Amino acid sequence: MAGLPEVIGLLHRADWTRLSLSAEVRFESGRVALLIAPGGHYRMEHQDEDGPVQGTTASVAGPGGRPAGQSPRRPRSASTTAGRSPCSSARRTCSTVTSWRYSGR
Amino acid sequence: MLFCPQDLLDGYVLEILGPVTACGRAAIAIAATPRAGDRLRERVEAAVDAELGILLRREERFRGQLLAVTELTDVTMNPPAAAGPVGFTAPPGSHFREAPGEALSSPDGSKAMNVLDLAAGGLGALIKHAPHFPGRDADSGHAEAAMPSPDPDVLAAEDGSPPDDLLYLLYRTGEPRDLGATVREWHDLAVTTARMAQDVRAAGLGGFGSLIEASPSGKTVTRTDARLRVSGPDRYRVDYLRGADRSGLRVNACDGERYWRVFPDRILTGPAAPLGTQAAHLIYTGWVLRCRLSGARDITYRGRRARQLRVTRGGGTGFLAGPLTYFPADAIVDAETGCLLRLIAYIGDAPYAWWELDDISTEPGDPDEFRVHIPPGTRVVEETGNPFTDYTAAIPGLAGTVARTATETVRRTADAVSAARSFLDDLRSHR
Repeated sequence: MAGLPEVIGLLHRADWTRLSLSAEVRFESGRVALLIAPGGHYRMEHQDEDGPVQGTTASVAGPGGRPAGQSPRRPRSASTTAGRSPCSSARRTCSTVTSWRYSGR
Repeated sequence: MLFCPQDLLDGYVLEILGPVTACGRAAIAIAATPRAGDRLRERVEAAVDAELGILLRREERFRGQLLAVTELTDVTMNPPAAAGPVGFTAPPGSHFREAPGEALSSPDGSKAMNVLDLAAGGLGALIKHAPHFPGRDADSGHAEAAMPSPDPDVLAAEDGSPPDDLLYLLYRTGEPRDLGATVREWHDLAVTTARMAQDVRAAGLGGFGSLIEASPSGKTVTRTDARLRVSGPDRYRVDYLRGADRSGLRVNACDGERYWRVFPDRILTGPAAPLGTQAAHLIYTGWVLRCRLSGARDITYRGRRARQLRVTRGGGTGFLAGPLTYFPADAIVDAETGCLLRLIAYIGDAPYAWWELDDISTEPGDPDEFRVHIPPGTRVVEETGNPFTDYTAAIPGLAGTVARTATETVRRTADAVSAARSFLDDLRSHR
């Protein structure tokens, strides 16, 4: 079994922007269908009826996009917004990301 | 949280519980307990994917109560849908608008939160750097003409991650230990404030940007020398040998029960608290693990075995990382203690901050040296416990005025946001 140094290295090197993965994420307030492709592309779709869908079409500065594990705000109206990464840290550092979200399916 | 698990490497004691299977994948169960003295963090139990390092499941507990569970289910690696771009683009026919505009036009208080966020960001940067403001009049004992020149030179961008033994060394710096060192710091406020003002203006708050930019002038590089001794997170003493700031801070000490900050005209005191100076980040270096690291070149620095790293923002970094607001940075890690012998932080190509440790000793100190003996007649002030208020109260001159004004702005905005949220919550509940 891996020792603590190996686990620390494993956690430190975790980098979702290199993954190709689909999964369902469950947390206290709902479920999200998640799709990730290398380069920081992701799509997360809330499984409740009017939940938002959001994603990004370009790489963010590191895995700060946090595609899962946080509950995005529910939009108040049907719209699509284009901007930077949805995570606060990348929002301040990255100017090339096109992220989007919409609701009102 | 699941995909950026680096937060568990800073401020927690990790324990391996054993191998498990989660989502059909091999994983390692771990428990992360907040380090001693940290009353704000929660205990975390998690399943770490044995191949990818991401968390497949994360449980957070506070005082034994389960707060939250987040987990992956139905994990598929290399799914066909991830092969093309279709799944990652917005739906056809979408009408785009800028995300910041959404925040500014939202009726649910997002505008206020946006302003609060920016004000808090500016305030955070101000507080981080305000003690080093030379001010409008040249402070001849504190200001210098330029930053030092790096020798060895900083590392260029490199691929690859440092080896596990170095990462483990950084992690273990959070354990209590005896350590003494001389600390030297340089800060170039011209570089920092130019960037802060640029960021704030880009966010549409030109007035605040002007206020920030108005603060430094003349010699903008400050230098601080101090002798530091620590024996645990709340047992330390810092004696400033050369201007901590213009407030005249001379000693910052804590004996495990109370702390003292000694100024020429008063002593601030309160219950034991962790060392809050930026020098603490040179001693407790677990925060580095939240950044993206590369290089790890073996070197000898001032007679000590060391490794040199390039530090950039990573997914788990957050807005602030240790003493760093901006990246990249160049770090030299002592191979024996895990301390940072040198840390240089850059904005673009210009260094804005430089910290270094010298004369390192690992001999136990005298417990009595962590106490401050107060001479009769000294003015002693019990601090309020509000870190913003207490901290900004000690900043003199224009910089202090700016910081206190920003503190008050944040407080009032937070109050307004709280009131607006209460109103909206109340409104929704009556629909």
